[in-house]
Amino acid sequence: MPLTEGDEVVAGEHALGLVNEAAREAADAQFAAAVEAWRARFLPLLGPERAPPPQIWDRIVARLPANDRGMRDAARPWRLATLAASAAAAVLLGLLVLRPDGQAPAPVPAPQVAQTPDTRVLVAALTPERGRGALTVAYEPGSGRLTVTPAGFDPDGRTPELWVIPGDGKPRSLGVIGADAARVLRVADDRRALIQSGVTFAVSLEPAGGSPTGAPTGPVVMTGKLFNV
Amino acid sequence: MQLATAGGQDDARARLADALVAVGSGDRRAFHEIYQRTSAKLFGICIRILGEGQDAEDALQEAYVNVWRRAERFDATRASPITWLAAIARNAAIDRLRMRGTRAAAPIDHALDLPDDRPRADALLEENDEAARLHGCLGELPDRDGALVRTAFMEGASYPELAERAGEPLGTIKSRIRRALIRLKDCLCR
Repeated sequence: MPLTEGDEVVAGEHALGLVNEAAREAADAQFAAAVEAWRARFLPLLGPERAPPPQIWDRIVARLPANDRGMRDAARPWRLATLAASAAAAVLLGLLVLRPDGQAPAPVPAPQVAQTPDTRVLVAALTPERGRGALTVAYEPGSGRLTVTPAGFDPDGRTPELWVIPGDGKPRSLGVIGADAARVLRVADDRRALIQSGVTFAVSLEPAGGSPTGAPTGPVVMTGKLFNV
Repeated sequence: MQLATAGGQDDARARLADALVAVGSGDRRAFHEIYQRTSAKLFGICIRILGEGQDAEDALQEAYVNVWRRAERFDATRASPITWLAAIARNAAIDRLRMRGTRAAAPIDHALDLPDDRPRADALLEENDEAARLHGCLGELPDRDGALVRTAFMEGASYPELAERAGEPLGTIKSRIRRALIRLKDCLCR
């Protein structure tokens, strides 16, 4: 059901800063899309570009919180995404060979100096029963970080959502994912215990914003099992 | 040329979106990449709203610190990176503008011609078109409603402030803005 003209106007007022509908923007994907469209319409008023003085970057860096992980871990999400992408490529080429004990000799980057005690990475390659596309999931139990990399995946206009299905067979949502670009999710603490080697992941196609019920409401298009690398 | 531009823009958008996701995980290299790709745009926003000077530099710093803090919440399915970043910059600049406190009673500036913002020679053709269309549509609005819209957006004026500065009742100003938004959407969709 499209937004009413009245709602379109409220979205415009919010984009202009005349009303505060931040709560609605966060909860209502359709409203958020209307706000985004208004912001894009007004954007030309904010031009032209101007290069800032060089010293501003240093001042910004000096103000960042001191307890973030900084440069030494900066490479991890990118390497993880690379690993996931490599695994996806290997699946597509049919080269990924899984030995019975679950060890996958996928291309692994040189081991990094471990900064956290648990540096394991678990990988799942999700493929459909029919059709194109694949998705790799790379999970770091040490940090709870989950990198999802789609490849050739067409969600048919719907919103893909990732689920983990542990031993009890009940899918738990890990969140809405993208179909075009890699996404890094952080798994909530109470879910992390569920994500072990051998567990099944699944992707379903949901309405905008993800499943409204907490269980898959649309078709499950891909599944795959998680393995130690 | 249209197709090449669209492809290039999609790539740039996807790269920025990926970088924002990485920043949400504390990736400083991705944060630097975002700064390099977008700081000219965001500084331009600060300068446009605050004018030349220290305030614009301070607002830019504030904006990027907020980008760092909020990147985890960026949702590429709901917003494009540039409008998301531009909104953060605008908010930082407006906050600083309002701290000055000097414009509270100034009359609405009815001159609709903006300061010289001749686009850079290498700017995308699309951007120039969009700016021209918006200015045209704002100019077509009746009764100087365009100036009201601009004042709200560029100066962060609230409804009560707009009413005071325009010397009109609050209800009238709200109706004018709402009417203007409907007409703008229509004009820009043509």
